[in-house]
Amino acid sequence: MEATNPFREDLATRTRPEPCTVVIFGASGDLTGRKLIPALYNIAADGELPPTLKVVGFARREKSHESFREELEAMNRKVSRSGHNDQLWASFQQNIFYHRSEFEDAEGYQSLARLLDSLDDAGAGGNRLFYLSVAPEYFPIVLRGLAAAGLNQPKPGKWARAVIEKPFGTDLATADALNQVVSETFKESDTYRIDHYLGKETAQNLMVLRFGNALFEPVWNNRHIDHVQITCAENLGMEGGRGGYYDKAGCLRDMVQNHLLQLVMLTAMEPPADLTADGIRDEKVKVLKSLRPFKDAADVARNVVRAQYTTGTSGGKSVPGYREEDRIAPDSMTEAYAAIRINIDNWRWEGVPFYLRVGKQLPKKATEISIHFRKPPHVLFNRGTGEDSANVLVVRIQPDEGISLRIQSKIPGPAVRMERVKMDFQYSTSFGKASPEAYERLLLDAMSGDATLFARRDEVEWAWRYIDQIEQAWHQSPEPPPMCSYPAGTWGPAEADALLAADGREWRRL
Amino acid sequence: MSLSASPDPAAGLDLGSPVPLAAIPRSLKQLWESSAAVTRASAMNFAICSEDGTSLGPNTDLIREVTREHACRAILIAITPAPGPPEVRAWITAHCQLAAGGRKSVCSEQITFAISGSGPQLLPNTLFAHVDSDLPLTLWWQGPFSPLWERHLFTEIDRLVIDSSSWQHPLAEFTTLEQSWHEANRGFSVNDLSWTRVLPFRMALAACFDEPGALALLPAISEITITHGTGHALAARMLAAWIAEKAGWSVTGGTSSSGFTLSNHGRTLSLTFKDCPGACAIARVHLSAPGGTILLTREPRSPFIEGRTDIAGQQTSSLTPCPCDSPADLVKERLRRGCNTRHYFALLEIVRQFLA
Repeated sequence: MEATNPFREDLATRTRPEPCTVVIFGASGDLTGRKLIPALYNIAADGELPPTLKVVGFARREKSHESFREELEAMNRKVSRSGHNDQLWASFQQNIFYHRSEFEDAEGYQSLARLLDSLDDAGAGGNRLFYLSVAPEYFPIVLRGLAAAGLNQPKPGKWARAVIEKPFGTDLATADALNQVVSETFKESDTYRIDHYLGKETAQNLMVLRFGNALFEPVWNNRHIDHVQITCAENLGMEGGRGGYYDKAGCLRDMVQNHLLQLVMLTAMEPPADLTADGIRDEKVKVLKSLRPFKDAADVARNVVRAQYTTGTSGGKSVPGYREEDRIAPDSMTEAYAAIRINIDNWRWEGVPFYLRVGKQLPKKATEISIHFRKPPHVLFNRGTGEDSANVLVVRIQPDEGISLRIQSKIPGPAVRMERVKMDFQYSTSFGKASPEAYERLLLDAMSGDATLFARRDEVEWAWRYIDQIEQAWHQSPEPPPMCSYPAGTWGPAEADALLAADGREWRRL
Repeated sequence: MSLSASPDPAAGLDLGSPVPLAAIPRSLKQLWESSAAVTRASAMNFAICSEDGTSLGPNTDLIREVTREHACRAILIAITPAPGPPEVRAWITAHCQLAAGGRKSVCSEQITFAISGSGPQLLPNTLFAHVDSDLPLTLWWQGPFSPLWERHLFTEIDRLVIDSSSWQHPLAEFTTLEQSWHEANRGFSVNDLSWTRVLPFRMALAACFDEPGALALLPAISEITITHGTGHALAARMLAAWIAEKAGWSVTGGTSSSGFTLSNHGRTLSLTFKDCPGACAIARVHLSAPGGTILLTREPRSPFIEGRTDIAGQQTSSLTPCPCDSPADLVKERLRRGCNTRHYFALLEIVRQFLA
């Protein structure tokens, strides 16, 4: 057994990342400079980075170690959460290297192996974290390249892990095929599928809110909760060339399959037996297994609304409709908005619909979960006014992270009249210090071997199983549900309002 | 305690609006209602009690800095013992900064009390009458424990902050501290800023020993030298106590007030403390063994500790952040972390051997 460092015993508030080399495939991409390197730098600034950690960027463009470091430094100066310290950067950057190769070039992986061996000789420690920040079509190519060079096999007593960015497949079949490749190259326990929503403080706080407070869990069920709404709104369209990817994916695949279903799972899961990665993920998967399947395309039409935005106004400017956007097909049938009524068929949630909505060019950028409690029997106050007096608990994921609770209060005065008031908790005002970026937490976890905040294979596959029913109804059924529309800058199509109105409910006004 | 007339502790200071004691809650309410552009933030009560008549100015500066990171209701109390009946004067003010994203001002309130005269439970009553209910209470007791440090006070607090490096007679103060802690039924955690000064060095040392080569060297360590700044001998001894405890070494004797022998499972190793005027609280930690050395150094005012290991010819270096110069830095760091008070007291047993 390897000796443990006795000086770590009372210092660690979390599992310490182990010395390793992080190899980033697609290192010349935006994610590396904007997110990954600043995340590692900020981990170093917090004193959490193993001093012998090395970073190797693997990409196709011609660059030297020095020019790669200079590019990363320039970006880090712009985006680093904790600012940029020249002394720290000088120490950090000497462990950054660049390796030029095509992803398809077998020799590129052999030479990578030699580079990694030489870094191990220089103290890197022998552990390897392969981060696939590449377009999905390259996932199998890179994984097979690693396997052919033997890099998927850890050295004795060491580990080799793969971190895979979304999208993890485009449907169940492709996800299954990709999982097959992954499982041929890395063990499931060494595979880390990133969903950066899970790295956000507020998403992590959902479990603490539910299971760390005696107040909520007793009422977290169908006896007290009327329905749940999850909104992920963006106030942008297809700026910056993102239309090329988006028009192939659509918001159902891009957002619902991963981020929003993760939020559904965290909201609806049973308390786990323990806080191990599998203890939590087992409970999350049970939620996905309980999602009521759609019977046919007509059932999808009754429960799901898809839409595209038309010309409208955003931020005081006129903006084009979805089909007029850059890199979007003029006859595109890709949804830029979706609203879904989800039913969870289990003891806790029977009869409590979860309404999800996600879309582009909505009035504001906001992601939140709102828990709408049942109305009290109004035999005493405000009789006959028809005002909505239900308590609403809102968990704001981004921006303005926090939690608010809407309650009823008596309006000051001689009459007994009630008014809705909001009790508000904001991270920014309660905890002064800025929350770490999601990628900091996720990279730390991957280096520490904690997979709790990463999606497991069955999670991904069950999520696709649910999403595929909708995609098939939209694109393969003889009578597909209609594509609705809404002016850019508004809160979505009338049909989405009707979805809730049919149940006697309405969307929360954000 | 002298009861002769003392200078006014508030003289020449901007402590905000003077308010009658009975009007503090109402005045605070008016303060917040007067501006819609600010948000009151508070995650705890943070009280500072001092019997130093000049403390209000530096402590107000400290609160201004601390509230950037730890929103709180700050309660500053300066006590100047004087003959005659007790007199309590109060001021309220707020410390504001822009919230993340620069969207609006987030403010913490400060209530300042200048207490003169003496009377039973004057201090506990003044403090507890003005804490924000339901929020934890952190009390920084500045200076040595006096008769004002009494059970009505320490049984009601959640966290106690002290700076043992300011004590002239640390052995006696530690005894008072432990007695209070037991009397309070272990109701408060102890947060010693002297121990906080040591923290970055503990982290830097742990980082060095993350390397298997350094870890393998640990049983062979034969010599340790800790260089500290003047006035920080106690912090250096705390660091030595921690190293000895973690490595499983025991103190076997002292060759002088700054030289000790330790036993490493029967092998003897030497420990030397060096006082270096003008140096950081902890400036240098050097561990050597046949076959290698581990060296931690910190230059004055550097934000980092530089760690260097040289083992069998292989050298590595690392930087560990060290925000540990100003009292505000130390308090911020301390409030960020919890404190294992049992462990702290266990270490004091070893520290006592270095002080005896």
